Amino acid sequence: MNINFIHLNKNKHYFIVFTFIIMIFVLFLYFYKHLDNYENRLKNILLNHAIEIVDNTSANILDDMVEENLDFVKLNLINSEVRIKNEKSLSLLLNKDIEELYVLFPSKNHLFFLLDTAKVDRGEVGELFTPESMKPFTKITETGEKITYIQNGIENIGFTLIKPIIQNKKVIAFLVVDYSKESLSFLSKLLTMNVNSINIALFFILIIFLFIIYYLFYRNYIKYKIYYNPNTHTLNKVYLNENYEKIEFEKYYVALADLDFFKRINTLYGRKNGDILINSVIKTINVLLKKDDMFIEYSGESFLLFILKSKTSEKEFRELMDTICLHVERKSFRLPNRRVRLTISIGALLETDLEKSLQDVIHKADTALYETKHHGRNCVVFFDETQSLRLYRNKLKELIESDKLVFHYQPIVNIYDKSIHHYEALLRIEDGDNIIFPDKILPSLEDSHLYSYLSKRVIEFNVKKLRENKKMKISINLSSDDLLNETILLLLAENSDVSDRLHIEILENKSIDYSRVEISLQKLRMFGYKIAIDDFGTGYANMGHLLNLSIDFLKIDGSLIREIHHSKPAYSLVKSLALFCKKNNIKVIAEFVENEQIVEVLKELDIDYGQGWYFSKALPYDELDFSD
Amino acid sequence: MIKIVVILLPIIAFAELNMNEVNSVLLNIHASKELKYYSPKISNAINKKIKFTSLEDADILLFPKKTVNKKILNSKILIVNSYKSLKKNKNSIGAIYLKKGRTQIIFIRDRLRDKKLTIPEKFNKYIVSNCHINQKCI
Repeated sequence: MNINFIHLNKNKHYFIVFTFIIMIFVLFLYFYKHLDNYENRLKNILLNHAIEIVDNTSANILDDMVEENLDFVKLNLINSEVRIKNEKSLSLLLNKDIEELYVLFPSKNHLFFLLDTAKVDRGEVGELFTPESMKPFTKITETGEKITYIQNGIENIGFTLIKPIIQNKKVIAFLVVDYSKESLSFLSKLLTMNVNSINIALFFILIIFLFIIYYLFYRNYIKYKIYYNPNTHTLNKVYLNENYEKIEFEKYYVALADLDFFKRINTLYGRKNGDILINSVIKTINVLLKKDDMFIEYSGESFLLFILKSKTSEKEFRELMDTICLHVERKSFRLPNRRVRLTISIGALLETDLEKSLQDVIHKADTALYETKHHGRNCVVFFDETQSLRLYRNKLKELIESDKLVFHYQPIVNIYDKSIHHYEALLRIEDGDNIIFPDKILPSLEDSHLYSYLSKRVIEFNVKKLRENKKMKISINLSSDDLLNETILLLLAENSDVSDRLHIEILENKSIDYSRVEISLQKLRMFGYKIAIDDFGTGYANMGHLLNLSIDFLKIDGSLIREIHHSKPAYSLVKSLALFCKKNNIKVIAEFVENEQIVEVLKELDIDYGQGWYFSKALPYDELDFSD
Repeated sequence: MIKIVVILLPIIAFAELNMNEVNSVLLNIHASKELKYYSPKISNAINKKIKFTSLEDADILLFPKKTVNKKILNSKILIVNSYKSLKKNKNSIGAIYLKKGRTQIIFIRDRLRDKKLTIPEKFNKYIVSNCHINQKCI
């Protein structure tokens, strides 16, 4: 169901955000953990630096005091002279940062004073001492390594150094040095400064991360607001426009569904009720879709359905499309005070993987949808290639019938004196803001009655122009089929009063039945029309036929003329054609004359007329200059 | 001047002590009856559950002044505020004082037993034998 699809998308987004948050937390935990380590390491560095002097000096003093053969503790306990001497020695270590410096010894699981450098609050020898914790002493006894730690609950004391006094490889006593709070405050400042810097950096990183998360959520929220219909929670065209390149259309069967005659519904019941009906239809279709399918509101009453191929077989897709039609047709849609029946037409495309773009996919689904009109609507039509051509012909027919034909006129110029001999009428069809050129018109109309219909319109239009402008001469393009068409010939006969100013160019675009065309051409010459063979040189005509057709002009194909100044074969071919025409009194017109060099070559070959951008591009009638 | 110092002494004695520990220990000294304390100055930091009474009615004198009548002093159980007093005065069951900025809480097992007082095992770290305060014994 498409609602699930939306949730899937949202979940995907939430999953990313959630992952992102987890990552941030992990990152923070990592930093926090390492911040603690960093803080401890920094503390140790600073503390070790602070105790360095005492540590080094005390090592020498203790070395002197502790003799190998004499029990250090016992000696100091019993001999006051030794004790006084040793306390004096230890006093040398005192400085302004040291509050207390004393020696403790362990006995019977307790600690006792052995030496004390203090004069006030002095620990007498053998006095029991209860430290704030026995742990550091136990650890030192085990490791034989000094310990430095910050004191938190003791007034005036910032940190303490406990150093083992070792005799015969055994820890026999501890030198305890209590440093003042002031000495620590300097270290604390240094430490706080560092830790604060990290904290500030982390804080800013956190703020940035939070901002990014907020931005992602906000963007998601805005996208949801923009992309989804709040009533049906279906995607809208904004989503389609913004994700055109991202949608993997080849993974889906695509259908374009359109509510039949919905404009009438809007007119009858109002736009508000129309919207209610559309929402009801969307909900009706939604129920039939699977989790990973996509439903997009394409325009007011048109919907795009993307049915995931991996979850739905072609047969199931065909059945689904029929089911949608049936469900919409059978359901009675509720409006305030009335119930409404609707039908839906669907154009569908199965082979989306053959298309180059989503635009092509939608275009083909639309083509198929258009076909439903010819089947009375309320049905499903699957796209096939013949629909395109048929539809294009229909479109051209509509444009031709609605008089969207326009003509641009390009002058055929005497290359010697630059005078305009006549204009070639070049057909265009206006399709809104677009212009359809002959190469997109004529091949599509071949073998259809529209072709002769179009030729008829060409003749009528230009005859009218000739009647309006007596100075103008025009050449029009007709096919050999046109020349065999009695209606066309009759039309030309009826307008033979302008035949001296109307030239007929026969398109050399297909094999001509010369024997039959010859008769038609004789009739036209009788009516007074000048005849030209168009695009000669690359097609099917040969010079022999030119004599039989007794033409007035030969237009040499632009692809030869364009190469004439730098291609020997092109030059030779044009030269022989020009020579042939000269001898047979046929005027030569060179097409695609684009520059001075070509003109010079044409003069050299004694060619009379030229047509091309060098002289003038094809212009609308209103822009032509008839002042001469 | 001396008087002022003497009056302030108990306050100073309480001032930097770890009162959580002190209160905890005092509350856990048990006898057959409820113990009543006397102190020349009762700190605000002393737990209110600890009963204080007059010098005459008290079972334990907490940090008694030297000026207290010797007869009374000898008849009461004492908790003193120095290691020296603890060693000197056999009536004292323990001492609570500061040494090197650390709160020292010491109770002597033999004296507690003599006075029929008990302290739960969790306070064993504060309880020492007579030997611990006797240098010869160490």
